Amino acid sequence: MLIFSMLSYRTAKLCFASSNVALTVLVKPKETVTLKNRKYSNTLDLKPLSTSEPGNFSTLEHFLTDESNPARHTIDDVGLMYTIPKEDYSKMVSSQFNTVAFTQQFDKQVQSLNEASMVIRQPGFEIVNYLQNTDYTAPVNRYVIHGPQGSGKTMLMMYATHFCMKENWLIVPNYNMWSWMDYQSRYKPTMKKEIMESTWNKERVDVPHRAVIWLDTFKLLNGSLLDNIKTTQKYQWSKHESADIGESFSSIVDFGKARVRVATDVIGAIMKEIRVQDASTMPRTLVTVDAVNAAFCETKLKIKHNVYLKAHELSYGHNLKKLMTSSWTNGAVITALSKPFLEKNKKGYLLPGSHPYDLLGQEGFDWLDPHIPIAVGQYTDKEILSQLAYYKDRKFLTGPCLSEAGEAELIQLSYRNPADLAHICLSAS
Amino acid sequence: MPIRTDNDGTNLMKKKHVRYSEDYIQEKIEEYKLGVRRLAVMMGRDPKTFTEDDVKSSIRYLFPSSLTSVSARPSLDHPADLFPREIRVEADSHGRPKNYLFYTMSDLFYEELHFIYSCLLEAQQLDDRNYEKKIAPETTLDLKGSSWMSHDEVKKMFHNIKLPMYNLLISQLSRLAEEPYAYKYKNLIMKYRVVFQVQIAAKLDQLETKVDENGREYSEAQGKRKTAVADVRVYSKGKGRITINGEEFDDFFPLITDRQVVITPFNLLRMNLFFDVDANVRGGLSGIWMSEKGSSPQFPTNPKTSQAGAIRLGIARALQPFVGATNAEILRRAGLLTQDPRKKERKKPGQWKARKKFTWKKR
Repeated sequence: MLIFSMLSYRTAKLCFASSNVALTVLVKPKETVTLKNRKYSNTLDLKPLSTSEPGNFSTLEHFLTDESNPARHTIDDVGLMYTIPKEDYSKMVSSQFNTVAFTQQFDKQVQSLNEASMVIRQPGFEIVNYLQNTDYTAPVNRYVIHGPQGSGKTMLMMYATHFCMKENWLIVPNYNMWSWMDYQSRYKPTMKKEIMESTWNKERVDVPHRAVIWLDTFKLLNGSLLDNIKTTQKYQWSKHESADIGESFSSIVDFGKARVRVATDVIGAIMKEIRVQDASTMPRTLVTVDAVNAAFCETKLKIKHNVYLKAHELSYGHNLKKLMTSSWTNGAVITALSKPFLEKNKKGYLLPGSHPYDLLGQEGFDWLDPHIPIAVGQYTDKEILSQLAYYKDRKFLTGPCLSEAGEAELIQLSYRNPADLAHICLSAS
Repeated sequence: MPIRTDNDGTNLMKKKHVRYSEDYIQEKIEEYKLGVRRLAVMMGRDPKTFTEDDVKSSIRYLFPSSLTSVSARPSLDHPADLFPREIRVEADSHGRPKNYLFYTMSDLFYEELHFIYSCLLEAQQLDDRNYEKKIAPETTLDLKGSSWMSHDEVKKMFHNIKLPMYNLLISQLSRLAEEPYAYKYKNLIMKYRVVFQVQIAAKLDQLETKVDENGREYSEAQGKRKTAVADVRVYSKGKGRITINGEEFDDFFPLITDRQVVITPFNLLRMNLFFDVDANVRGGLSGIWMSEKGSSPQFPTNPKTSQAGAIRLGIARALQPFVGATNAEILRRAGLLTQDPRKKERKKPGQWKARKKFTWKKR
């Protein structure tokens, strides 16, 4: 199976055929905006420095779509921007619980503009298309989003999450797997006491404060959907406390938030119910895991001296990894890779490459086999021009940035990398 | 310079403001001429064609000196250069100075200032008159290619000029130069201006564009900085794509500051996204320190900064045949065509680094 998946990165068709996705024909957009059509493409007609003046404004006028639901985006909307409604955004972002759903750059931008707008990209459109046309009676599909650093893997995952929210799916979030694997602060000794032996299984370890945060975000995201979901099994939390058959998810979650010691067990119960129940009782479920490669390497947590825990020795990690297998139906698993924390993990050790196999390792690659790879790259011409036009329209860019020459400089300096472009524009203004 | 002594034997060099009468200097000049004549005979040369340069070379030959200080070496100077003259004042029979600005300490300078102001008034009156008659000035004064004289240069023209006085002169002159009829006083203004000696940019004839196997036009150049060496190839009609050692631009330079350094030539000419760049870069680490065993612990230095500088120089050089002479001149004036001569300073024995010393302990 490994060889097959390795092949699939070269020939995407094979992989699509293996999964249960109904393929849709992607039509090329009618209007293409390229840099070649613009004024400054002619080298020889350029005037010397002293006479050229800033003031030629970008001619792109149509850069925003009015459609805020990702389900209704068409192929013509790809490369334009759309705005996430405020009520949706406040559900998705959970910075109050010390975890970042979107990127930090994007949060900063939203704070200053009071508006959450992002680019609709080709792979995002693709992934939504797959989710709309999948056969949900078959085992779940695993999607692995990969690409260079800062190319928008996390943003793509949130785009899919927004789609599922609008379709009333149950969402099981994990905004950063690595945050479960490290102490909040390694330099404060008091922080290190926050891990404990699991009450359920003594071989595993709980991280109670993180579990409470997770329950909070889970409740915020799904809201009233949790009242209709019932348990199918009796759970004995402790000697005197238990949950009977037919108890709702919302009451379990509230119980877990109240009793911190039990919070991790509640998460385990929720994840088990999602796997066990079928489409008649459980709504369609989306599992998102960012920095998924963290789940297949050593943690920074330790109980004994110099012995670091493995990810599956955490009870949360154990349950999440079970959820990432294709043993259940009526749902989807979307994962994204991340490189920087790995470089932090092993000092002075550089990874051989940024290929998914290098990041996931043998274990991770076997675990997620077979999966659908989704490649994210740098901005295309249309995407970067609409992003810049948006910044200009909101008066985020001023001065020499407004000229075509300034625009070209921004494009070359960022090298079309979305995160770098945002970083430069945020620091320039 | 020889030590000048009085008849009593006191050192005149230590006395300040000593000035010599015209007769005394004339006497010394005649002595000098005799001496030069004698020297020419000694050297077996014709005294009539014996110049001051010959005097210098013959003194160097007769009294060879390896002293490093130039002023300490033996020399034979002209008395006019050696002895400062007395200031001669034009005075009447009672001894009163004729110039009414004599007591300002620098009469010629203030006389010039008065003259400039009178010219300014004239120009203003002319402008007012012609404005009523609706007559436009014939030409304009073009001051491009020259700048005002510096303080030191003005000092040579007048005696005893201080900085505030110099500022006064320049402000007065620039007021005159701004007038529409300033072209009438061109001689006066240009007296106080220095014309630039324009240097021509690098020889464009040496750099020629070549054509690729695929029919693409390119030019090659090499750039260096510290120990980094970059071989750069710039393609015309590109899309702003930059590859370094086979890697993409943003992969090779994760820091934005390094990228900014590399694309400065394009930024300056406003030609981003016009060219493609393919570079091979090597070096940049201080290799001796990294490899030596038993040396003091050193943090690994970042080679990327010097590599970025080397690539920048290579790009600027390779751009010249594409952008033409005027743009190449812009690059040269921005300092992008000159190599940075700075190098890492060597470690000295008896201390930790180039400058850092061992900790001093009494015992």
